[in-house]
Amino acid sequence: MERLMQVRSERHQVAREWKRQTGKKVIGVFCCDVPEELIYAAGMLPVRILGSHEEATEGDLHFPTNVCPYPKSCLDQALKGHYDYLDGVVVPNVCDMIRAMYGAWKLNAGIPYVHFLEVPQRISPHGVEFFRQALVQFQGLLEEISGNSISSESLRDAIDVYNRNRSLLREACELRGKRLLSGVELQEMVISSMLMPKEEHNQLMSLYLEEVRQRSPATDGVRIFISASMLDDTDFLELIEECGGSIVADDMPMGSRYFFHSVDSAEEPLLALAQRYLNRIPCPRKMLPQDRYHYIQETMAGFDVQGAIIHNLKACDCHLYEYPYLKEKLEAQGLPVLFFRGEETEAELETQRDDIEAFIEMLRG
Amino acid sequence: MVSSTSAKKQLWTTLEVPALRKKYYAESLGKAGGQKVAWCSNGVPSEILDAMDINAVYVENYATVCASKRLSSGFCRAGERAGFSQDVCGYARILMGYLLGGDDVPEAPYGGLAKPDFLVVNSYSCDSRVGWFATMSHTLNIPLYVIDSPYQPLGGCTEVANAVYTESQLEDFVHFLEQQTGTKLDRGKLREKVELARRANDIQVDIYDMRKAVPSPMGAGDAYTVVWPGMYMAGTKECDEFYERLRAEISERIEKKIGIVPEEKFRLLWSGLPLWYNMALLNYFEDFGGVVSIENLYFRYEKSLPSQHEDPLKDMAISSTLRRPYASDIEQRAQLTLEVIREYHVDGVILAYNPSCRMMYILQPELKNILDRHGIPNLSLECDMADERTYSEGQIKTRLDAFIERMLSRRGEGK
Ligand code: SF4
Ligand code: SF4
Repeated sequence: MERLMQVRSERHQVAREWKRQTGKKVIGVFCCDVPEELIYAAGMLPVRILGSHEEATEGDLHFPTNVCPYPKSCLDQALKGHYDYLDGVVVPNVCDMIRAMYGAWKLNAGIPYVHFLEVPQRISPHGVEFFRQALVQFQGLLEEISGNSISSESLRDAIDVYNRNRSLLREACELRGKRLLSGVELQEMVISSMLMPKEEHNQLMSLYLEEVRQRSPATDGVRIFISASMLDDTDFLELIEECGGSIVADDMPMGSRYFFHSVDSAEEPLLALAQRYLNRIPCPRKMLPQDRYHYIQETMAGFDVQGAIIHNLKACDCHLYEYPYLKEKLEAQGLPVLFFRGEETEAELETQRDDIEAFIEMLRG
Repeated sequence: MVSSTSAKKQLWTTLEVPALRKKYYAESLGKAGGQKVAWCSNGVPSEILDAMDINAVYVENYATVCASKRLSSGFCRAGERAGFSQDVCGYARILMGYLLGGDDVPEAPYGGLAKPDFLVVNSYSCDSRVGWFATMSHTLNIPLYVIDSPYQPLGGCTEVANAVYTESQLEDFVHFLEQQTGTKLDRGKLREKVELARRANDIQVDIYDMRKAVPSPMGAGDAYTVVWPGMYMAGTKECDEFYERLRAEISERIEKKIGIVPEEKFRLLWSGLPLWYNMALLNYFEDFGGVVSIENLYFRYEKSLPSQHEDPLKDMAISSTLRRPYASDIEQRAQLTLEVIREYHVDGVILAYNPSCRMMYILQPELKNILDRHGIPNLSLECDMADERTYSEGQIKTRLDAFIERMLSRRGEGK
C-alpha cells in the first residue's frame, strides 16, 4: 500500500522518473470523461491532473473567488511549474470551470498541446455518434504528439488492461463493503491508478487484494455512504473514519464513478469507448437527478448503509442543484443526510469534525 | 413606471418595448389552457415553438423583469429556503422562489406565468440552466427536454460534426414536441418564421454596425431593452418591423449627429450582464460626458447565411453553430472584446463580475489581464445581476467616480 500512497504524494517525481526511464510522453487529463485507453494505446501515460491544499496564489491571478477551487488549484500547480513534464493536456466539456481550463492552460501553462474534447452534455444515440467523431479527432492528435499510430489491436489491448483494472477496483469496492478495506485505502487505490501505468497498478492491486482477503472484517464503525463532487485527496475520508464512520459505498469521481462500468470489449473499440464514456459515467452535468439517484441506489445496494454524507465543492452548479433532490430522496428511504459545501482547505476540515462526530453519534443511536 | 433605477431611454423606438413585452406576457397568460405551454431557457429556438402553436415562456427574461421591478430579494430568499445555495444563479433562485411561493414572496409581475406542460433547456451557456430546469421539472413533475449544443471553442471539434450533431438535436426536439402536442410540425410554416427571424438578425447586425458612429447614436441604456424582441419574438412580423423602425431612427440620429450626451468625452464598453435592478447605472457616466456606447453580451455580428437547404431545420442547425464568441472560451471572448474596442472607438471597459453567473464570471479576471496587457483601462464591478441584496450603492459609486476621473484625465492627455 505504501507504493500506492507514494505514487499519489510524489506524483510529479513519479511521472518525471517514468519519462526519464521510458523516454515516452505524459498527457495530463481532467475528469473521468476522457477515454485514457486512447492515450495508453498511443504509448503515452495518462495522468489525472490534481490540485493541492496550498493557497492558489497564482491561480487567484486568473480566476475569481466564487468558483470551484479544484480546477483553480490545478492551474495554480501548473503556474508554479509542478506540471512542467506534461507533453499535452486534455480538457473535456464537463462543467463551466473545467471548460475554462482549456483557455487558461493554453494561454498560461506553457504546455505544448492543450486539446478540448467535445463531450456531449446529454445522453442520446446521436450524442454517441458525435462523441465518436470527437474521439477520431482526438486519436489523430495523440498520434501526432506520440509519433505512433494507434491500431485497433493496440486499442483493444488498452481496453483489456483498463477493464482488468476496473474489475480489480470493483473487487476492492466489494471488500470495502464487507468491511475488510477502509474507504481511505480504496481511495488511495483509485487515485494512484490515475497516476501510474495501468499494468503496474494491476500487478500491485492483485498482490494487495490477496492480502486484504485474508483480513477479518471490522465490526465497529457506522456504515456511511459518501457522495462528493470532487475530493482529490483522502483528508475528508480520513476525517470521517477517524470520527467512527466506516465508508462502505461511494459516488465520487475519485471513486466508483471512475471504474464502476467497463468498456464493451466485443464492440468496435472507438464506438465502445464513446458508449462507455458518454452513457456510463454518472456525472450530474449530463445525467439528470432521477438517473443519478438510480445510480446511487446501485452503488449502495447490499451494503446496509446507515447514513449519507454529501460533500460538494463551492460554486459547483451541477452538484449544488442536484443536492435538494438527492437529500429528499435519501431521507425518504430513511437515510439521514449530512451536507457540506466545502473548499477542501485544512482549516475547514477542523470545523467539519464536530458535525461529523455528532452525525455519527446520532446514527449509532 | 419610470423609477430612478431604470435606465434613461433616449430613442423613441425603445419606448415601444415595455408595451410589447406586457402584451407578450398577457397573451401567454391568456392562451393558457388553449395551447400547450413550454417554459424555456434562452437559446431555445422560438421559431419552432411558434410554428407548432406552442405558448413559449422564457423564464430567464421573467427573472430580469422581477429584478427590474425590484422584487428579486423576496423571490431569492424563498428560493434559498428550498435548498438553493446563494452560489447558484440569481435567475434560478428567483424562479424557484416564484414557484414555491410563501407568505413573504412578492406579487408576481404581469400576473404571473402560464402553468407549463413541459420544460425545454439549451445546455450551451452554463451548468446552472440544466440543473435549474431539472429541479423545476422535479418540483412541477413535468417532462424536461435538453437541447444539447457543442461548446465549440477555438480549435475545437470540426464545423461539420458540430452542425450534424446540432441538427440531430433539433430533429429530436421536434419529435419530442410532436409527441407532447400530438401535432406535426409544418415545415413550410417554420420556413416562413426562419426567414423572418433571419431578417430580424440581419437588421440587428446592421444596427450593431451603425453604433460604431461617433457620437454614439444608441447607448447600452437603450440597447439592453431593444434586444428583447429579437430574443423572444424572433420569427414574427412585429419583431422585424420593430427593428426596421429602430434602424431608421438610428440612421437619422447618425445623420443629425445626435449623441447620448451633448459632448461625448469618453466611450465605454459594458462587458457582462447589466444590473437589472439598477439599469440607471448605465447612464451614470453621462453627467461627466461618458457614454456606455456598446455592450457585448448579446452581440450579433454575423449576417445569416443564405438558405442552403429545403429543410429549414438544416439551415437553423448551421446558423446556430455560427460563432457564439461571448458564451465560449476566453480566446474568442478576448478576440471579440478587442475587436469591439477598436471598431467602436472605446476608451474603457466595465467588467461586470456577477458571482452567481458562472458563464460571465469565470473568465472576467483573465479578460481583465488581457485588457491590462493591451493598456485598456477597465473597472471590475462585482455584484449579482439579479439579487439586489449583494448591491452596495455607495461602494459602487465611489469606484465609478474614480474610474470616470481616470477616463477624463486620460482624455486630457489626448490619449
Ligand atoms: S467539483 Fe463541480 S465545478 Fe468543480 S470541477 Fe468538478 S464538476 Fe466542475
Ligand atoms: S448562470 Fe448566467 S448564463 Fe447561466 S442561466 Fe444564470 S445568468 Fe444565464
